[in-house]
Amino acid sequence: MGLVLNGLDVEQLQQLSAQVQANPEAARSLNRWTARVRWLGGFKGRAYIRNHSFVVDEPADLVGQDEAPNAVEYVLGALGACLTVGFVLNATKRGIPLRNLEIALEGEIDNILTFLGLSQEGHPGYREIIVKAYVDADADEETLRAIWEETVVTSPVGNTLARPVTLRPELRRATAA
Amino acid sequence: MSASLNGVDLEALQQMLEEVRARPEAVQPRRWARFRWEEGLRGRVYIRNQSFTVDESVDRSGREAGLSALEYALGALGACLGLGFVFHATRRGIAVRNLEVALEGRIENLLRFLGFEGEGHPGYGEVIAKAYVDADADEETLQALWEETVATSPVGNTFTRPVALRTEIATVSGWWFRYSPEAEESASGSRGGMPC
Repeated sequence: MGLVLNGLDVEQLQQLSAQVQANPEAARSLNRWTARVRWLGGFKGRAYIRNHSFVVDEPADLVGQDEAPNAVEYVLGALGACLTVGFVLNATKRGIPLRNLEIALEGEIDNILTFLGLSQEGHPGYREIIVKAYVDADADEETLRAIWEETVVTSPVGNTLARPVTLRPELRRATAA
Repeated sequence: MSASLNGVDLEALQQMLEEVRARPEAVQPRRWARFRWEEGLRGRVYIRNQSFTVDESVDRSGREAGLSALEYALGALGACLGLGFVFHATRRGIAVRNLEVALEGRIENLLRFLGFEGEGHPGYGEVIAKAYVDADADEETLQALWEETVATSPVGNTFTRPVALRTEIATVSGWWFRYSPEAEESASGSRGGMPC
C-alpha cells in the first residue's frame, strides 16, 4: 500500500488512470450497469444489484410502513453521493487533503398530482434540484471552486439527471409456476 | 384494518386520494437528502429517519460496503416503475401476484468521470426497463397499465427530461461538522409520500 490521501491509495488511483489510458477499450464494460427490483407487497420493493440489495418503501402516511426511503429520495441521495465521490476523487488527484465534506440536497417535483391522475399539467419528475456542498479542506476557495465545477460537469448521476435519458420500457406477462 | 389488495389498505388509499383531491396544495413537492463523506470513495446518505451507505470503490479487493451512486439511481428507477404499477393496478382493483423489473443502464462514456477527454458525457444515455408481471388481468389491460405507469412515473420523468441542477459550494471550518446527521430533526416530516 502506497501513500494514502483522503482514505484513498494514491498509487492505486494513478495505476487505474494509467491502465485506462493505455487501454480504453477494457474500460468499456464499466459503461453498463444492471439492477433488478422485486415487489414485496404493498408499496415496498427490494432492489438487487450485484451482491447488494436495498429496500424502497413509502412514508407511513401513504399506506407504506416507512421502512426505507422512497424512489425519488434515493435519486437525491444518489446525486449527492455521486458529487461527493467525484469531489474526493478530483481533490485527491490534485493532492489536496480533505477534512470533511457534506452535501445537502433539495429536489422540487414539477407536479406530483400528475402521478395520481389528478392533473394534466406538467410532469411528476424533479424540475429542479438545489445542491449545496460544505467542505473543510487544505486549499484556497478558488481551488475548491474549480474542483467543484469540474466535479459537477463530470458527474455521472449529475449528467443523467441534467440530460434527457432514453427510456426503453417493456412489460412481459409471467404466470405463476 | 379494512379491505386490502396487493398489500395496500384500500380505505387508506382512497382516503389519501380524496384528501389530495380536496387540498392539492397540501402535497409537499420537495424532497430532501444529505450526504456525508466518510473515507475514500465511501459515504452515507441521510434521508428523513433513514440512511444508507454509498461506496464507489468497486475494485478487486471486494471491500466495498455499498453500491455506487449510479446503481442506486438505476434501482430507484426500477422501484418507481414497479411500485407505480402496483399503485395503478390497485386503484383499478387488479390483484398483482408477482412483479419484478429488470434494468440495464448504458453510460455514454464513464471515462469522462475519470477526467479523460472523449465523446459523450458520463451519465446514462439509455436505460432498458423490463417488467415481468403475474396478475389477474388480460395482456391488453396490463400493457395499458404499464404505459400509464411509465408516463406518470416520478423517477421516469426525472430521467427522461432535463432537470435543472443548481449547485453551490461553501468552505466551512471543522466545527460545522460536529453535529451528527442522525440526531437532526427532519425538515421534511413524512408528508407528501407517493409510491415513487
